[in-house]
Amino acid sequence: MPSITISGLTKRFGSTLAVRKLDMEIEDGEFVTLLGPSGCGKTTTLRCLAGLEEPDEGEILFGDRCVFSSQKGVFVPPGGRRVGLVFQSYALWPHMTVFQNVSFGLSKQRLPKEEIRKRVSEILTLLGLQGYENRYPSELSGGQQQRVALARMIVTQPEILLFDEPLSNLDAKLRMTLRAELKRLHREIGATTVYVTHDQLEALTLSTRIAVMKEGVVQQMGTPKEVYHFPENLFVAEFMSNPKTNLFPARVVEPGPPAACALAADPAVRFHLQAGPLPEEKPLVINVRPEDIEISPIAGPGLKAKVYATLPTGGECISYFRLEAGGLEVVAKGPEEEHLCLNPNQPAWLSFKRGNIFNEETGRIIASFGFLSGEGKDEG
Amino acid sequence: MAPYSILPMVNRHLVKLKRRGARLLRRPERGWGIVLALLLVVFVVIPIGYMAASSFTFDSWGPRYVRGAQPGELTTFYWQRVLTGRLARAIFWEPLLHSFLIAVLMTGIALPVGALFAWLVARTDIPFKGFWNSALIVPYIVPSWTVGLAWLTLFKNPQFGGQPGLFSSLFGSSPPTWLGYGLLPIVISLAAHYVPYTFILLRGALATVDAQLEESAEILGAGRLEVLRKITFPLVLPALGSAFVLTFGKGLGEFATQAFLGLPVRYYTLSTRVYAAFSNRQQSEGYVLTLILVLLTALTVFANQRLIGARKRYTTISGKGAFRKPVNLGRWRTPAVFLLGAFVLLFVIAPVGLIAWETFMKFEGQYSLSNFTLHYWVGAGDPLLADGQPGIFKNPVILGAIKNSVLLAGLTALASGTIGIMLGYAVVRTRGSLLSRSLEFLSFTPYMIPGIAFGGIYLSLFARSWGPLPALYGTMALLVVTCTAKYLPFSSSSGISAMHQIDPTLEEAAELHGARWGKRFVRIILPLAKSGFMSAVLLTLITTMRVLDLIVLLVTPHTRTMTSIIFRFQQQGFTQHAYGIMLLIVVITLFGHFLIRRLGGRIEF
Ligand SMILES: Nc1ncnc2c1ncn2[C@@H]1O[C@H](COP(=O)(O)OP(=O)(O)OP(=O)(O)O)[C@@H](O)[C@H]1O
Ligand SMILES: [Mg+2]
Repeated sequence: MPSITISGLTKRFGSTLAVRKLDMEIEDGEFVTLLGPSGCGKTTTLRCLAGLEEPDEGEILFGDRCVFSSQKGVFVPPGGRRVGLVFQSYALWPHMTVFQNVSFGLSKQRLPKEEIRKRVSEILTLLGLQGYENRYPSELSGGQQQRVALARMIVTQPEILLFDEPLSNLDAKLRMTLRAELKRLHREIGATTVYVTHDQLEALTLSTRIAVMKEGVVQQMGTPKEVYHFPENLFVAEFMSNPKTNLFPARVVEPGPPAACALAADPAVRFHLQAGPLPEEKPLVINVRPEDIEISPIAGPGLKAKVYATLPTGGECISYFRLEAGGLEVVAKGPEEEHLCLNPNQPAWLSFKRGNIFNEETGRIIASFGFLSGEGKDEG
Repeated sequence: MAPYSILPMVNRHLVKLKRRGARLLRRPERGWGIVLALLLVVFVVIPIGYMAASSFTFDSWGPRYVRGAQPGELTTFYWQRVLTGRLARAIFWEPLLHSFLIAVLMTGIALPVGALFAWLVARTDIPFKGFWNSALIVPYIVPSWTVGLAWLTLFKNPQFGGQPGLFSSLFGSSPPTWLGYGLLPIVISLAAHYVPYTFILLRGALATVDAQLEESAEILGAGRLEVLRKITFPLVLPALGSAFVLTFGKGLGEFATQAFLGLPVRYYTLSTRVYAAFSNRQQSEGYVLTLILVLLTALTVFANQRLIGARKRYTTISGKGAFRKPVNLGRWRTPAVFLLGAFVLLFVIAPVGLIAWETFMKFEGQYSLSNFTLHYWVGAGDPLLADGQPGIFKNPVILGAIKNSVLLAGLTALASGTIGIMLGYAVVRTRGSLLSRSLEFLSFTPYMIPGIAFGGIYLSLFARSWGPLPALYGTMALLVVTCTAKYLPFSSSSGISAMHQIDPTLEEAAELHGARWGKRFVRIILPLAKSGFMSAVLLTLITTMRVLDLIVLLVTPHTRTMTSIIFRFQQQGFTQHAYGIMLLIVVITLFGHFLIRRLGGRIEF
């Protein structure tokens, strides 16, 4: 299976720059997710890979085969790229049966009828669709339609699989099942895969690597753990967290280690971080994920706060606090027993288990704290 | 049963009745629906039934044809006369053949041309899309006989009345008759009118085909043409089928063009035969012909229903609207622009221009500047010109007709709009019940009856009094009732779709606040349905302004409208007047259509 090399890819629509100077290396057999908010250019990137859009600049290589190059004037049309694409709406042809939909690509390859029949039924069996050959798409459930779309894509054995939010039209449960199925399929087929989503959980569970995009630019590309634990900038940190992450504007008082910081909202409130030396007097933003906030009902070293809402989600709990100093809002997530003992309006003390420190001006990461060495790195 | 148990029973019934009454007040849609259904029966079902029955009984002239026949006696005489009699060929078979020929040829031209235009505008990178989108549908907005009338100014032949046309003036000899009258010009001018119809239907269908369906095929290696053939075409096929049968059905029933271009050379079609029969007071023959015409049209409508069923199956899945890459026409761009431009020039600009020009010619057929006059617009009567008819704006007869047209259109639009909303409300709120279905079906039936046939039916029904109902023939009320009834399919479907947009919970919320039904309707339903209502009203308005076939049998000197006066003047040779009024109608319909576009309403009828 080929690797994918994208360099300097730019795509404009009139005056909007959908993708700008995108560089990306995807190893063969990888499962890379393009993740980002709506309108950031994920679909456009994917469509450029498929050949459905012609980029304005740049180069795309599949292995060492050049499928697009603005300089050399190469543009391989979609049919010649050996890629498969699954759309969000599945795009099943409503006037064709399941069998006709799936066999469409094979009939292009001029295989004998028997061979086509055999291959289609193999694929349908693989996806648990045997017996549905003669149904029309409108006679299938959403999940079944999605499987037919998958079958139609993989039956021609493409070397590269492209997905554009394939699961977002399905309900939560079905989405989980199909995620597992996609992972299995990817392992079995081994095709290089690019997967577009704006659901960070989906990206974290499926990918070997994630590329987080914003306004047509890749912000960070790395393994799920890297992107999750060591976001390179504030945008990635915020985007990768659910519920929303905590950001504390602060200032360094002692460079450390351990560094002492003061909250920007109330300099009297100080706390220590297992990091340093940190640049003094620079405005910083400290990012601590909800699950990295420790709560103590007993007076201690942390920041004093009051709980104002506790949302149990079954097993886990999400609680909202307001800091006494500066009135900042803090979200914490943790086991139910820790949270449910809190009474509204009773003080609690919050401390930071681990987090990342960003330069407020540039938004870039400066340091991390509280991680064990090697933690969060790729297991290899 | 023992007598003492009667009282409580009566009581129980009273309570039940009272509860029913209260519910009827609280939720009046049922009662309302029933009233509407009765009205529909009276104005749609009974007329057809009456006519069918009449076609099988001797009328008062019966004894003249058949010795010993009693008026009112059952007979198949009229059917035999029309279908197998000595005159059957002339009365029925030849007109039938002509009608079919016209419908087939006209559809055969309009469909592919309209489809090609739709594809060009919807799917390719052809320039000036906004302009094509508006200009290409103009022939469908103006009366269907606009091109037909303009045609006459070109190829008129003095042999069949009036002055020579442009052709004669240029070449000094009369154009061949086949070019000026009959099949060819009828087919061409009707095709021009119906090209936009296919264009509109297919443009809509193409827009609903998900771009991703085509892209999926492209990724799997299918070429442009193959995608068009295997994916796009099958997906719009049902819409194309609809366009085919509907155009065909309308072609069968068209009257005005056939009359203007066919009657002078005695080229009869079913619709002009219906007209001839009724205006020659051969009612019973007219009934038979009308029924046959209705039957044929109804068949095409049923064929369409089946196609719509297929279309529904095709549009169940649709994705997030993806941007679509337009097809690059490459070196075909210029020819395509020329093609569309030629259509607009020949069938929009030229006809309107020719009609306008005609009204400024002192003497018809003399195409020179010295012949220019405003006489036919503002001149006082001159005994040497048009029998002394004063110019349009000075002519009491024409001014009266304009007033009548405005009155008729206004009243019809208002009545249709109101009934449409009420019907919509009753149908949507009783959804699933027999009442709802019968209302929907009944209000749709007039669609199957061509205008000329509809007029014939109402003529026969209302020429006499019915119990307390006086003979309506000759009154404006009859015209209003006829037009309102004929346009029911449109007004009710507009009303139904407007009501569909209004969630019942909106009304229920007001009900919880104690708002009574009347208040709910005025405060919630009407404001929400307003824009749909307005555009439906406007469309009915301009459609009534331009209608001829429906009322041509029903007008009397007292209720003459603009269209009927065109028809009469054209036959009497007051060409400039006729064309001037035509121009007014064209301007009014275009303006009305412009307003509808502003309101975002639909424009196909
Ligand atoms: N064909 C097009 N014409 C004009 N603008 C386009 C076109 N396709 C995409 N865009 C614009 O390019 C930008 C990127 O669009 P894209 O579809 O790639 O976003 P996305 O990341 O897939 O978003 P979403 O999560 O909503 O699907 C958007 O601003 C969009 O409006
Ligand atoms: Mg997208």
